[in-house]
Amino acid sequence: MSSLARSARNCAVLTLLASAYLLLGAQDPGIDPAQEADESAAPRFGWVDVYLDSGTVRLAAYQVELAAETGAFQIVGIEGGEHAAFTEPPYYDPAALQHDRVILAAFSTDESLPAGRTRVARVHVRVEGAAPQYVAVLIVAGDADGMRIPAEIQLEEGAQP
Amino acid sequence: MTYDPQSPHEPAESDVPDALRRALRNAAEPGFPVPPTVDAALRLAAERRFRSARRRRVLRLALPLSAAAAVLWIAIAPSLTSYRRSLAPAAPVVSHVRPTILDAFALARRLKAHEPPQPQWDCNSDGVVDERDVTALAMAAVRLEDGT
Repeated sequence: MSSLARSARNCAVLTLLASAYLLLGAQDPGIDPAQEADESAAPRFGWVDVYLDSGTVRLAAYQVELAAETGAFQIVGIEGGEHAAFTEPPYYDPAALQHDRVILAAFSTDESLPAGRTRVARVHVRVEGAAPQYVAVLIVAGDADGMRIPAEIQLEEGAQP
Repeated sequence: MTYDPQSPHEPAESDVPDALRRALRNAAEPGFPVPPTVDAALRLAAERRFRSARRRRVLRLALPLSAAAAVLWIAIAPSLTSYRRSLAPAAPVVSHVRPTILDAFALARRLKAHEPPQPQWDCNSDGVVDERDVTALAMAAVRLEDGT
């Protein structure tokens, strides 16, 4: 056998081995893309915490709107906040449940009111598909005298294990 | 000298005797040549004097006017403030404007303070002003208009 023929045979063997390796690798069950897609589409539950920071002014009332800029979610429940003045669930339109937009509002005539950063509400959500990009807008915040005050709104997300 | 009906106050130039005409012209002339720079400087000085006189006249008017306005403002400011307060709604008024939670909060504070109820506080039109009116206002504030 000539050296040229030997080289051709070696090339063919190497090509066959590489093809076999690639075929076996593609069949690896650990990286099944279909299964991966199923997992991201599977419904999951979590929550969105709404925080307000009114600085040194005591917060007595607030009204915020929560929605999703991208992605979709369903509201499945709404809780109050962490301070005693806002532990009761806020006012909201029941039509918001099972939808992806809600206006939350609450006030307190208590003497004890929160100042600084405080969680005013927790919105429980059900998400399917890509994680939504939540967005919240402060419609109004008020102090103990019912006067409008500036406040900063922040969102924090949590997921159930 | 004859009377000219077209110009009753000024006699026609031809009627003025030459001697008088010359004397009048010479009266306005200095009798010696004036350099243009001196002329300009004199004009400038005169303009400055007129301007400062005008400013003094304006100030003489403005000062008493400002003082009068200040006195008037001090006199009527308290009554204006109370007038504005009287115009401010004593309670949340149900109108075409969408209420906010601050309206509900204001009503809740008034109820808590046992203020005498006003007819316009009856937001749910049930004839009674109570916590249900506060709830009605709060629910109107959070209502989703399109239901989504």
